Amino acid sequence: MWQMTGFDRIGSLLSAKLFEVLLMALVGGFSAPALAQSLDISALRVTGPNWQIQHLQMRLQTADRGNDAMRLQAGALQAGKKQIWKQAQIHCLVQTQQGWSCQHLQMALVGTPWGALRGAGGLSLLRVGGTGAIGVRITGAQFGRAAVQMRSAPTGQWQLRAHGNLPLGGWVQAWRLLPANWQSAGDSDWQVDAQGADWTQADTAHFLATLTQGAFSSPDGLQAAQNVAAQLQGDGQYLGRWRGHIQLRWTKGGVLWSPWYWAAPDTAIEASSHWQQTATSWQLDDGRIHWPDLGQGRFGLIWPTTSRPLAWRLQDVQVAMGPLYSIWVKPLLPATGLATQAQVTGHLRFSVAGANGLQALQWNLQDANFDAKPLTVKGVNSIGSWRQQMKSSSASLSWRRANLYRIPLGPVAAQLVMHPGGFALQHALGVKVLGGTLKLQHLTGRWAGADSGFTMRGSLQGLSMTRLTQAMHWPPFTGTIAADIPDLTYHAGNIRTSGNLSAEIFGGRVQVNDLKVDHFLGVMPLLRANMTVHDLQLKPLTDAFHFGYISGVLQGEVHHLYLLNWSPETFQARFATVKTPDVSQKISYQAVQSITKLGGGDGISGFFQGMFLRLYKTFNYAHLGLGIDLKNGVAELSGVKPENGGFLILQGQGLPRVDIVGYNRRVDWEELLARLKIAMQTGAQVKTGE
Amino acid sequence: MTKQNWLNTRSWRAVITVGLLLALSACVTVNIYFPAAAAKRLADQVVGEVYKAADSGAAVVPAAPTHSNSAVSGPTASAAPSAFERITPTHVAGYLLATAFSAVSTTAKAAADLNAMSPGVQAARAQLEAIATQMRPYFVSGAVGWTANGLVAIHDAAAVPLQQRAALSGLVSSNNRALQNLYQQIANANGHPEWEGQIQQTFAQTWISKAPAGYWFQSPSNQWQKK
Repeated sequence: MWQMTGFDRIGSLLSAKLFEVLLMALVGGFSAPALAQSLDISALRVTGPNWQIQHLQMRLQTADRGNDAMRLQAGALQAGKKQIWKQAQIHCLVQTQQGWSCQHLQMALVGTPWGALRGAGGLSLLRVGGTGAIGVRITGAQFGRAAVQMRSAPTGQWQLRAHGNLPLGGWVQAWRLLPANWQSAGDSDWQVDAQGADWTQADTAHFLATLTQGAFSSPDGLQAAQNVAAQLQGDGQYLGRWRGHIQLRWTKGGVLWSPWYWAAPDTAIEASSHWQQTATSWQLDDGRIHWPDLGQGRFGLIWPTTSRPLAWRLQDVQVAMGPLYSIWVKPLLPATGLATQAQVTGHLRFSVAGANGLQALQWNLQDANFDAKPLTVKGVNSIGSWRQQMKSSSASLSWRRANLYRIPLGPVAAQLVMHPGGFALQHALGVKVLGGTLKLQHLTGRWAGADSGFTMRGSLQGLSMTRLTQAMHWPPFTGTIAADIPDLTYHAGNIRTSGNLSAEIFGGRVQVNDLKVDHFLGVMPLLRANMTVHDLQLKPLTDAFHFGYISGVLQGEVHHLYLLNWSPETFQARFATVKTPDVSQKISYQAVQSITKLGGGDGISGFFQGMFLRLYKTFNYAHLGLGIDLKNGVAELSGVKPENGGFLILQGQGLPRVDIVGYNRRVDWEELLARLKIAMQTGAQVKTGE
Repeated sequence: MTKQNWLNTRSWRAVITVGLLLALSACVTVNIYFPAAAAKRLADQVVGEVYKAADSGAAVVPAAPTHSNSAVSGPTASAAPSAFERITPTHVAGYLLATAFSAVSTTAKAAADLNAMSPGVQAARAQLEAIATQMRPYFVSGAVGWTANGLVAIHDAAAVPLQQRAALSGLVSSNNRALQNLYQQIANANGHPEWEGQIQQTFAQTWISKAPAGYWFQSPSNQWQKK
């Protein structure tokens, strides 16, 4: 018996020469007269280029009536890091009449990636000319079936053709494509053609695999595929290392990788790439992908064999914004709010790279439109770049026009500075809005973290109240608004301010404190704020509409203001005039009428009373004030002071003197608004001459 | 029994009785009870409206409450005499009576009910109703169900086609955020943020009890059951 131990590398030397010697010995030995003989060969370990087999034992045994047999037992076969089998047993009847052949071959493999396998077939080696052939059929419960045909020439050249049918589960298990507790189903037909100059090494290979009815599912069902049909084919060439070409066509089915879902379009999605093996990785280079209705681009991938992270890149990708948004972006956004109804159009060209997260991004967005009421933006263009490792880079953003809650926003052309955590406005930016200008001194955005979102600071100048009230369908007002906007942050759909928002309006000033807006662009926005009103001129306030004329200076405050969906829900308001030098305190007959109508009546009643008051255009007053506590849809009214069981709203002065006293303290809020609208829309404007 | 014994017995009984009374009166416990009945009524109302919104396929904005209060002028008020003019003593008397009555009745009602009309609660309800429309197909199919603590969890994602399944996780997260916000807003509106847990438990029972047949829910032992 020959015992070979401690051979670290026998390789190709062992291959041809040793087996030739063995076979010569066997053929010679078996040619002897019929006495049972056996030859045992064992090796502790046999290694070749990138493979190793352990505990190899082969017994060749002659028997009566020519039933000479070979029994081969082998321990684990390792190719690279992958175990091909844990144990193998091969048994066949040896024929030595014409060359050397191994007929009725039976094979049992244990511990393969597909579990236990059984095989049957034949093997022949023709000594004359040195040609050989192997034909084996292999079956296994998880493996499906395969047929392998291999021929070798005397020079050592060989060709292999193998084909079979393998359940998807077989691929998944062999290559550990999915976690062990996931389910998979589906069939694949596959074929491999390979050839080499030396039996230890393949030189070229071609493979084709066709998947039908492919499906998989994670235990929670949130990662799954159904009815997938795809074809993978490629070739490879060994020139010191493997390299080749690969192509994938996805023709049918859907894949869910929550929150994304991709369905194969009518025309196949195709991806192709060159591939190569390096010392430290497998790489896809110069890949091209075509996704019908979405776009096309180039891609690359580096899959390290070491512990380094997977690196990927998409280059020169040209996509339509509509499908990009609906397939790739929308699933990442909250289920309520803008995202659900948004319509996006336009074209985007971009390159992106990642390894352990996003590393770099370049984009060129052209003529995009974003329509998601209450926000619409038309004619958006943007060019820029961003790198995780670069301290700053530049970008531009522009749009032709936009609308936010029916407020039109003029064209914008902004220069941005990109940095790893977000972006900032490079220069102050002016946006035309309702005849005025919104000037943004400071605008930053952060991608992630507790302070993710936007922060802005700026001012508003010359905003037309007429256009604002028209746009918002509010009661008409005149004049302009100028406002200082403190640090205002937008985070997770909510707006907060860190200071007082101050606006100049009707010759006075309105300060908004503690402003918070929840669900700003969501289903039911909720605004909370406190307000104070300083020195508001009543004359310009009442000049333009048909409420009537009132002059004087108004002070007031609104506490705990809650606007639900931009309609007042709760507040406690107190307004009263203050005597101011050089400002008269007068009220017109029509304004008196309007205030009484506001109270729910038909105006000044009584024939003589009305006739007498009509003789005067205006009346002097000492105090004018109103308090409204709104809660649960009911306004609780109060005036400047109590009066005869009611409340005094207008305290006249001089002659003729008009007092207005209210008695109905509780008024339905909607009704009050309806009366206000009627009072402001009816009646002729009184010209006072002031 | 001798007289002395009788006296002794009577006096001991008296001592024991007085002692017990003193002991009981010394055990003063101050409880602020969670208004469970009011919470149940509120949960019935809110849950009913959310299910209704889900059925109708559109979010219903909670209407402002209409008070059957004669002191509040309604849409027909324009036909009444002007409230800002001097009115007759009869009107004043009627108004004062109505106001007095409403003041009393409002106070009594406030003590018995939980406030669910704060802007925060209304916003939270509107958010929930908007999501309820999207969640309904998942409840009907059995993809999601109610947990024992008043939230929503995925029961069987495979009950809906792959395309619908994509939005499932996000919807469940949004729905649970809206639910938590609703419970917190109700507790806040009633001045007891610490009631959130109890309000959540009350709603948990109501979501299940008012759920249509076929909805899935978790038992207190976290076992899924079909209604």
